[in-house]
Amino acid sequence: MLLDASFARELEALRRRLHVRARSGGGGDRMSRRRGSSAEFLEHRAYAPGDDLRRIDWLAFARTGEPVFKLFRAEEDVVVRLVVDASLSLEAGEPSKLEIAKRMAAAIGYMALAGSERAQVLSASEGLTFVSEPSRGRAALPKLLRELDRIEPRGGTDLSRAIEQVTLRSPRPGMLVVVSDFMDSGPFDAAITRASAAGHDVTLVQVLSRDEVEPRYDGDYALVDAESGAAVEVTMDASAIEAYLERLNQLVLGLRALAKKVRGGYVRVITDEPLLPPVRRFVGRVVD
Amino acid sequence: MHGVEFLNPKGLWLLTAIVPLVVLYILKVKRQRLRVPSTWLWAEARRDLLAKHPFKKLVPELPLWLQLLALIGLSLALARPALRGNKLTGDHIAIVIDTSASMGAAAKTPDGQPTTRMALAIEAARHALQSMDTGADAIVIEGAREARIVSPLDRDVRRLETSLKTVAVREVEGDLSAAVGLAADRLRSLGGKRRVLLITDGALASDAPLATAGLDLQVVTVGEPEDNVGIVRVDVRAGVDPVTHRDQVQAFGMLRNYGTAARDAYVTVTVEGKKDPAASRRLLLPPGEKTAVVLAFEPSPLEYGKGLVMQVSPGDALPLDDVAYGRVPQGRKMPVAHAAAGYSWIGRALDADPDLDVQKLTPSQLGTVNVDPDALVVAEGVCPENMPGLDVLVVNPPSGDCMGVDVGGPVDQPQITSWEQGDPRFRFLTFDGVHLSKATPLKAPGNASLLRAGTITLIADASTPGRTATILGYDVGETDWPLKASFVLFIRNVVEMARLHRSQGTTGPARTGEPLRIALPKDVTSVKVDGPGMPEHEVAAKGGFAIVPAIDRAGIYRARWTTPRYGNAVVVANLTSERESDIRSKPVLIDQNGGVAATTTRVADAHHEWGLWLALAAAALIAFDVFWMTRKRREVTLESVAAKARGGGAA
Repeated sequence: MLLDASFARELEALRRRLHVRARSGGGGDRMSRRRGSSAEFLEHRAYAPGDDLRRIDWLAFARTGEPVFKLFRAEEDVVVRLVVDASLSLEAGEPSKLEIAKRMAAAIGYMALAGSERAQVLSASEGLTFVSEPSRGRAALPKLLRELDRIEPRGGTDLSRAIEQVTLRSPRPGMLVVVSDFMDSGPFDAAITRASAAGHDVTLVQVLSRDEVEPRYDGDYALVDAESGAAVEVTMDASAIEAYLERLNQLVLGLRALAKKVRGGYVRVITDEPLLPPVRRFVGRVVD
Repeated sequence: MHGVEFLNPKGLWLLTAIVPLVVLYILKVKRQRLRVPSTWLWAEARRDLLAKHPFKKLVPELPLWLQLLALIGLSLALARPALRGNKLTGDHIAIVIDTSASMGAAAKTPDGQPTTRMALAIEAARHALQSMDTGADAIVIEGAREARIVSPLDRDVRRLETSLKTVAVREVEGDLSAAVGLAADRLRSLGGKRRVLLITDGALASDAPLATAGLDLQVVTVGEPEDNVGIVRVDVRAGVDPVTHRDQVQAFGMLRNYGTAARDAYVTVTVEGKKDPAASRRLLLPPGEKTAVVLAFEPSPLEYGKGLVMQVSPGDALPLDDVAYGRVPQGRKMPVAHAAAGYSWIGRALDADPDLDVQKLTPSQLGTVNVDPDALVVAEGVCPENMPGLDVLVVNPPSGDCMGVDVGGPVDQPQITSWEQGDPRFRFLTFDGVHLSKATPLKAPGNASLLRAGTITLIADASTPGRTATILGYDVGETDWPLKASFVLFIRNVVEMARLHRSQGTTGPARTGEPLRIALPKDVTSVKVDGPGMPEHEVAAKGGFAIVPAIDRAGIYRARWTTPRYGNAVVVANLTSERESDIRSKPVLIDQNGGVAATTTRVADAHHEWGLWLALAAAALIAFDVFWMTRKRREVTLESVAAKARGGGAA
């Protein structure tokens, strides 16, 4: 089960804190940070010729004798795009990284739908393998969960290609959540940067298993790549494990730097840890 | 310091274990297959990708280095490296110098000058004395068959060096166990570091390992292995020329060539005092084999009893064994002094032998008239206290003591029941059918009863060292024995024994290194003895023998006495030692018994060993390797790596 009742209650509380910085350009229910025509007052400014006279604050004019123009927050229709990495590398872990990735996507999707946003599920491996139709409202939650549930691991990882495809397929920018282990030797920074430049509010959710962050191997192993099947012979000693962890740390640092660069978020999820804390960090737009 | 030497180079064979050790590290292990999300992050950690080959590239790892170093350390420790230095360490040093005959072999100094092994040994001892630590003392002992302290424990190097002048080659076999034992005994009670320095050529007579009683022993070998030919056995017998039937001296010699090539040699025998050899023969001596030679000549009447020199020429590395000595035996005619009162069956039997020179005496003349010292004395009815001659046959002695045998009163018609069939005097004869009408029972001590009539002894053996004495407790004339063949056979057996005894000389062959025993008339109490390297000196005689303490020179020795009658004897002593003549290289066997032993070719400090330290270092390396292999791996986590990276970045 991707979402249980208690988790859903926690998400219900968190959804109000979820803010999307993306500007979709279309009207909607979500309060935008942009000035618009909603009922929510944003600020005053001096009147300028050409302004709509209906928005002059006459009470302020009576007090000050200066025409003051009222600005309201815009309301936008934002699509939360959940890109779930479904490559074979996410099979690892107990529970599997893919399972956690789907649960994380379900949690974010729940918060989006509960906030009257539209949510869209996209499955990625060596490119996009599945794209659902965006749906809105709580009523669309079962559909979203079914679509997530149907995602099966397959193929290798090409995040760059998948994100490029998402960017091209999205007529309006929105929130782009990439849930993956980011074990991709190919460069995907450029694709993320381009998505951000296209107006997407990018958040990176990295899912790792316990064995990946704390490898406890000892002895001589032939490591077989889950995606390519290639074998690498490694004698697991302290120096080998340290070398691996240094490499992993570089990956984490790279993701963190990328998130900061695109003013997005970066959340790291460990498969055997509770899911709520990373969701909170996601909502708080924390960079882990 | 002269550098490092290995006292046990065989220990270096352990270094060959490096090969299988390295092979173990380059052989590919069978790896456990593990499916991981991605091998991308393990790229830095992987060791090799040559999975298609049975061997992998050798990667230097700490355990490999530790094990290699431990192996090298153990190997070197087993090889027992020792620093060679000019310093002779030790608080108390016993210098034992081998003075056996082989030390007289020719040698060469390091600069090629001819010398002897003994000179090299003395030089080595002098060098050792000069190399002693300040405050150390030394004792100098020379050893051949016997040990002799040349200088007691002394710190004065000059005095010790002076004492070395008295060290000389002894013509005796080498058996250094007594000398090493004496050295160990002298050092045992002393404190501090003690060591025995043995200087020898290794040609020792005994195979028994030298026991050091736990003390450090350093053996310094001097001299190079040399080929040698030596006389290893000599014997001189009297014989008869088969053609002329005249007396002949037959000198038998056994020569051995220890060399690797055959050698042409002349063997000569020369009578003492003569310039020209009495006989000579040319021989081709095969390598490694013994060759027998017999040189015969007719002696002149004046040459009987004189010394005889057998010599091999040309000389070789060891001159001492190229000469051997013998004595010209008396003539074929055996002197017999026969003392009897009247008609004698024995006299008749003696007269019938043409090879006997019978001196007829009355019983009263026995002891007052000069009798050949080598003569067989046959006394009938008498038994004087001082019996002259060499071997003795006493017949029907009077009651009382006769040469240690108690002669009892007469008994009638004793029946012969048994006799000692193995005794050479009873060879080929039987007493069956011999009847006695009267006899005087003899009481001989021990197993001296030769012929018995029940419990009564009729013939007794009263022999003493160097003399065969036979006592018949009955008058032959009162038996029917003379009518039997056994009587003639008995007389002939007694005569032949005396003849053999006489041909061997007064004392038989003597060897150097042993006391020289000279047989004399019983009434002689003092003799003057001289010989090679031995000035004439007086030696007390008792019971018919004079004992000269161990002689260390081969050659001809003379004994002279003047009272109660004038007389003299010639005795020879020979080295004739196969082991001593073998001057090829031989190892010296040592029973270390807790001490440290080393064999070197020069005096140096062979005991500055660091094998123990190497072994300890190897053990420490092994211990560290075990610790390293079994240690608890340090916890490396992503957080610790990140913290480390942050720390590095901050730095």
